[in-house]
Amino acid sequence: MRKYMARELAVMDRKTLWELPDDPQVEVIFDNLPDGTPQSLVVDIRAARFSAYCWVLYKEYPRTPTKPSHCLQERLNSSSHLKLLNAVLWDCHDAYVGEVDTEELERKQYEAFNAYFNDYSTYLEDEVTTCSIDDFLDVLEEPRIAAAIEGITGSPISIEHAYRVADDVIKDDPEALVGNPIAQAVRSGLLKMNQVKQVIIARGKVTDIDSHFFPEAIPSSFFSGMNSMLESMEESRSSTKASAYKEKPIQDSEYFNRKLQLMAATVQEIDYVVRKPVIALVNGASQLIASDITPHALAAGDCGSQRYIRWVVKPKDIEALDGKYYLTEEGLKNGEPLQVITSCDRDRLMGKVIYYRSPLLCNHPTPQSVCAMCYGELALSIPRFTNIGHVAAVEYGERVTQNMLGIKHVDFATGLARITLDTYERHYLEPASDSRGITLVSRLKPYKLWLSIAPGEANQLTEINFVEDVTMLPVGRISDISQIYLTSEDANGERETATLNVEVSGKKAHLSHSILAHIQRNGYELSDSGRYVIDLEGFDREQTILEIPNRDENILDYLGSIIQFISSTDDGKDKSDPRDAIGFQEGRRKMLRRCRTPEEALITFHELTSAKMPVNIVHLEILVFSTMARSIKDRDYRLPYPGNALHFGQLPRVIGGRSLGGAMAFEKHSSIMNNPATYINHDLPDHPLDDLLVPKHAAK
Amino acid sequence: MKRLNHRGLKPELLAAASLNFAAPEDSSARQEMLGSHLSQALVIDGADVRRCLTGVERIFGTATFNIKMPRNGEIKAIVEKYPRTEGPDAILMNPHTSIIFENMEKGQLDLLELPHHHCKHNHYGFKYKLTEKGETLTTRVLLPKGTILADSPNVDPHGNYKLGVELNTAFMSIPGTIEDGVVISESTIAKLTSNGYEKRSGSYGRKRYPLNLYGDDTHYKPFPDIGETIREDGLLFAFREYDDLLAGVEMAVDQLKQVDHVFDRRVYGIPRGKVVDVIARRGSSSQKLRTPVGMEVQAAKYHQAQTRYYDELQRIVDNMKHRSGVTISPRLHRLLVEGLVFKNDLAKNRPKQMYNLQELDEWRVDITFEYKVRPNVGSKLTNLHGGKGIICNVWPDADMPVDRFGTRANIIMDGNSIVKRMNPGVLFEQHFNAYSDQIQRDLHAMKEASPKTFYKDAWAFLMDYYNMVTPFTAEILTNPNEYKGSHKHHVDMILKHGLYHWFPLDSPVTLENAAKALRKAYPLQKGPVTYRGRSGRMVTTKRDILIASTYILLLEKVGDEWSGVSSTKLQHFGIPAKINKHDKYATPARPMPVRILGESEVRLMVAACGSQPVARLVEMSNSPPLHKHIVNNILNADKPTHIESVVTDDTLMDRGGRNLAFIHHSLEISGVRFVRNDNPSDEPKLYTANAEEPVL
Repeated sequence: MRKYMARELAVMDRKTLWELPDDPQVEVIFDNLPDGTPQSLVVDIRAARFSAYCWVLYKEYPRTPTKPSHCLQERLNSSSHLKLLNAVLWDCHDAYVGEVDTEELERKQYEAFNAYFNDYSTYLEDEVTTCSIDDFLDVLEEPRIAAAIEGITGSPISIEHAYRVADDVIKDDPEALVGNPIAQAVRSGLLKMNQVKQVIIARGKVTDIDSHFFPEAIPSSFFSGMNSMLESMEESRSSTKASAYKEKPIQDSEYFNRKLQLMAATVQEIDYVVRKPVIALVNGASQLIASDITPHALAAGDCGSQRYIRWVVKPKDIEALDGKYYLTEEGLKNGEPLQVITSCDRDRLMGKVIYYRSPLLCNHPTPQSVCAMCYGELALSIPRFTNIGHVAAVEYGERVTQNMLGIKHVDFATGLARITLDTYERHYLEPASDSRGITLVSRLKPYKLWLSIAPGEANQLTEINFVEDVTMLPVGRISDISQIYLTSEDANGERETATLNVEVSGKKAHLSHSILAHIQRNGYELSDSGRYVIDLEGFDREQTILEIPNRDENILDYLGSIIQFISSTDDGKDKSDPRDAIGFQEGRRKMLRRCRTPEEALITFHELTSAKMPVNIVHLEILVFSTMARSIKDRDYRLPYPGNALHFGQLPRVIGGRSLGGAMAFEKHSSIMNNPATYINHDLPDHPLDDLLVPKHAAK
Repeated sequence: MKRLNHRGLKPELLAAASLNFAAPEDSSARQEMLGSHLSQALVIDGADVRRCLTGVERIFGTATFNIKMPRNGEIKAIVEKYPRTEGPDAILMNPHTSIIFENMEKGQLDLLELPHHHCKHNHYGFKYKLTEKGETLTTRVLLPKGTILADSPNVDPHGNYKLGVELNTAFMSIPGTIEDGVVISESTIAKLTSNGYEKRSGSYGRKRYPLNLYGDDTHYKPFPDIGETIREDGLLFAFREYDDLLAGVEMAVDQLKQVDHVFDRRVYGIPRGKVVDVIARRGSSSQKLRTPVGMEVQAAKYHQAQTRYYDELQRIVDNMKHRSGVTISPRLHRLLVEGLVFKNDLAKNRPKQMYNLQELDEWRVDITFEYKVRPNVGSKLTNLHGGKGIICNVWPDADMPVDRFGTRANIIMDGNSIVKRMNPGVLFEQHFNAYSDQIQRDLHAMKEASPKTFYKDAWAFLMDYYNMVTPFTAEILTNPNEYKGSHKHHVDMILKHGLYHWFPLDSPVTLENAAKALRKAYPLQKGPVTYRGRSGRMVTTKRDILIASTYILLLEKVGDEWSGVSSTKLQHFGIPAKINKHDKYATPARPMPVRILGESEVRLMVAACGSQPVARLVEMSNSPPLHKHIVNNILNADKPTHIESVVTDDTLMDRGGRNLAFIHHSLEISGVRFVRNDNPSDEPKLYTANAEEPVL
């Protein structure tokens, strides 16, 4: 087996690199570990050659360690180069702390890697891929896939099974479909499996324009053809949704993005230099604003804040928390140094409580700036002097818009929408066999039961008195329930009440026709607190008591709730909505200004967002911070100092209440001019657009 | 719900998607795109009938902008606008014909107009093709309602509508095909060439006189005649202002042929465009005419010709009315009134010709010209499955991929995009068209191998094929009541033209099942292809790549217009102005700056570059002194494309432009002034947690 030193490959000219013999296995030798342990890797020469393009920094920055992790060890895919370049970049950065400019390193990598694209498209001209009907037929004739498609009956379960088989064969089995361009493209990340499934296996469950699932899934794939009018018409709803979303909703979301950018741009930069705790002038005298700061040797770009966001790490959080500086509970007690969260920490941190630094609790002397430590390691990837508020708004806003624009690509349900109940609820309730209902568990048969519902969640319950047959009533109109209270009484007369959450995947439950018929027969009582109390005596316990709407989450509703949360306004909504009286925790519309702590605001925002749009938490923090004001009462919408009371402003008011560069790029100028509050505060920090409204020379 | 083993769609319920034989195999989003693409498709020179038909093509063929008899009628007169004459001043081409017929239902004289071309778009249109009836049209002929006299060139003799052209397509992952890019061959450009029609106007007489751009020392021709082409520089007219002092110089014979690009008013057309119509109008002013003698001759020729045309129409109608007392239709009446206006009869209460509510100058000439629109890098193409793409490269034919049968690709597209777009219908199209080629090849081979039994064998082979793929075709061909031709005729047609598939949307066989059956019974032959890569070498691919035709449409987005300048025209208040019609054609390109600094662009640039540089960029267009300073610096620079700093006088900068001056001025009148707080004290009020009032 031939051996190559990684450093030799890195400095080799490209022609020589391509003339190396095409060995299926070569040994690449890397730098020894600090303890002298040698490191090497056996790879295909093609992997070594590819990796060499990512090693440009070895040549110019020889102290950069060469590591096996810098070498391609997986199937080449669309992000392989990014992973390797990233690994080399940060190892080079660590080897030359303070001596190199990261942006310069990135530029060198960018230029060098451009050569990769040029070389690969010239040296491998005979390796072009293609796609034909025969390639699709090869996939369809693969025995496991053929059997799975044969088994599709139109039921969501059969389609879900076929999808799983497709995953196993096309995506995960390297021995299957060798050389098939579709399988190759999937395995290299060039095609999305969700699309391949729709094209080859079955279109599956689709929703109407009101997001309700059609009763049956489409068993045909695009390749087999939507040959019946029913299939064709159901599939046509996807296009209708895409058309509907690309007009007004896109305008609305872009309008929201604009507002968000104008507001967030006030949070301007990352401070990579600050090394001291915050001293601010108060009544002419210097005073430490945050008294909990312990002066100690701080790293560059560290404000020294010792206030942290407390966070219980859940599986989906790791990606969002990537790059944050944190401490564990023990670390906090023992005064340990901060650590960085990386994607490798998934298993170690899962379920644990961590305390991490956040721009919301940054002690930087200027509120418009955030120290690099509170921002997180992502600060290293933000080009210097970039407006971080704008970055946060764009990172967030583009996902909102893309979710709407891409509806024709993402309108895909994985077959069966199952009802999943939490552990506690499963002691009392279980999904019905028809997959749409919820029944009582058989364990409760010996008990006497009463069901209670908050009055605001069954507003139209009295309608059952006006019809003979309750099945004539649409269940969704009668009730919209997030919680039920189930009171059980055992043979000894002991009573126990359980509060059960029945909101499934964001969809509220409805009282079923069976229970409505029971209520019609037996009536209900009102408790002291105004709840409807239904005695379940005589109710057939095999019947469903609740139904979950058979609809997908509507992307417009979802995005609307996000916009409403961050805007903190009730625009266009019925302010007399009885749900508002229940309170935030019981279904009241979520709004930033109703949050009581930064943690609550952040966690709510993250929960709302992470359902469909993975965004790094720091961008959410910056957006939340940009809505904060010093005093709503004083109409002081300047960004707050640490220690100021917590105030979240409504988005349009925040824009109008700050330096007017942003507001004048917005709308309703006259209302700002005519508002006395505009003239109250004079010492407003600049908005980035101020230079466009009043250039410095002109101001003089 | 179960998968159907046959196609069960109703074409009448699918609207435009029914034109796509693989509609069931394409996602609804792509089918919807097809609907919008159809209305953007240009009429191209190389249009041919699609090889995979649904039968709906003939329905589309009936819904064109054709010229047809609106009623049953007897042709009474055919009047050409500019009848072709001989001699030096002859008008070479007739651009418009009026047909006067008697409406047999109403006993009324009516009008049918037969123009040279059709153009409802700003640029693109098509030249009418006369039908057999149109070619042989004479007076005293009775024509039933609906008789088509001229039609789109895209309708074939069988009535099929030809939207595009069959192009041999290779799906390959080469650099030019990423991100919806396509590569086409040079010869394909000719097939995709379309016609453009535009109109320009020029007025002269009272303030300006026309230059002799198209004449010589003895013939004064300010503009090209019908049938002639526009100059290489695209200049159509140029007008010079009267100047009593300099008239001796400026109106010298040679000077009248020289354009002063600073002071003369110019009107540009498209270089080498062919003039297809000229309308010359005379103003109605009773003042003494100022146009120098001789400069009106060319315009007067067209004016007189058109006057004769209107006179002829009037005469015919008067004769008929007088003879039979028939009435005339509103359409014909309108034309006659138009004639009276055109002739500029100065009798009282007659309508006058106006333009923008202004009386016409002494002469106003409208020129319509035709030009070829050749697609190039930036042009947009699509197939009938919503598979659109932009031309990123044009390769010589010799460099395009060629397979072992000698089939050379005309276009290269991305194969992966088919799954991303969920429109495998395009692969079915390529697949069955490949079979069409293969069958043609195999039939030729059969004929050579066994000429005696060839027709019998070939017919049997074709019937097997049709039964597998398109059983309705087999049914028709074997039913003597439906198909009157011989077996030999059918086989010969395929030998000559290849096989055309008919895939109705209610066919008993699905495309998937047809492909599966064919794969077993009659596998498709494929092989590697050879092409010239970016390295300049001819390479042969390791994989088998299919080359077969798909139907391609050219869409109206043709990116061949020059439109950018850095320094735009300013309006009266000193801020950038929108260009008007005069500006639009006063230069070969559009003097319209590329709009890069809208509000969203400003937000983006400020975030990346800081506010001051962006404020300065905005100011450069909005501050006339700064603008002038920059233009001077560019004009005086040694290397205008390499200037360290275009602003050398800092005192001109950071004042804000006129745009800000208006706002600040208006607001100051209302008592409002924006102020900068360059030294904010920003004394923090210290709040304690949850306190509403500051504690200090």
